[in-house]
Amino acid sequence: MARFGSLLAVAVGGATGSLARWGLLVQTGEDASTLTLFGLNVFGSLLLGGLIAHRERLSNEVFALLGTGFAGGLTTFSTFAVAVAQKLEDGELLDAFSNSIATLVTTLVAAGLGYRLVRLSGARARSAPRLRKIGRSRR
Amino acid sequence: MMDILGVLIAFTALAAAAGAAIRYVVGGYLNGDFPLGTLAVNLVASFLLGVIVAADDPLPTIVGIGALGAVSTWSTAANEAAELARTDRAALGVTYLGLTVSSGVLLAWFGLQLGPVLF
Repeated sequence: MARFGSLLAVAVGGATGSLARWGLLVQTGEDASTLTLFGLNVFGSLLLGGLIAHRERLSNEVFALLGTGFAGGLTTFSTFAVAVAQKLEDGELLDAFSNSIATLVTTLVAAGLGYRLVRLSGARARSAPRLRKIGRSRR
Repeated sequence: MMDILGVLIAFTALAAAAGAAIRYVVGGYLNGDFPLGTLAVNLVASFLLGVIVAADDPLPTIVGIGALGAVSTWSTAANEAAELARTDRAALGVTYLGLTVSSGVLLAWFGLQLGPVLF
């Protein structure tokens, strides 16, 4: 039953993220599609990294909705792969290669950064009340 | 006009919901120490999208942007690689992403060759 709830949350989040991706790609136009997709993949990887760092404090359904669903649907691999393959067909080898390397490296860094930022801010939030209490007891 | 766009959005949303659900289920079965499930959905989706871009609208929108766009993902792959790096398997993580990109692009290229024959 819990598994069905997560599945439903993934479906809703995935639809929302995918519509957002489609809308943004349409809004920014075909000329900017490579850059838009790059931005979406980087942002989604950052978001998912942060959610994974916060995983123990989220219910399965919320993580499924925002992480697996929304971030998963906002980012995509297939459109990227076809765009790069089309560049290869057109003989734009340097473009294809640089787009691949840039996306691979930046999304990996974004994933690590999202995780680290949430872990750091979580540690600070947990230590802050203790400091305040010490301050009050001294007064 | 609005009606046709509304129907297109509704079908694309439904296809995306199904795509994301398929990714979740396949990942649940195949992802272990190595994220084989994510790799599988990304590669299959890349090949199918390569095939389908040659088709007439609205198939590339509904199936391409919706279903295949949602079944494939980058955020999960990047975070799986980052997780491998955090657990002292950085080389495997980078190999995983490199394998995803190189074989995904290759399969998309095969799809692009096959598409015009079918559509």
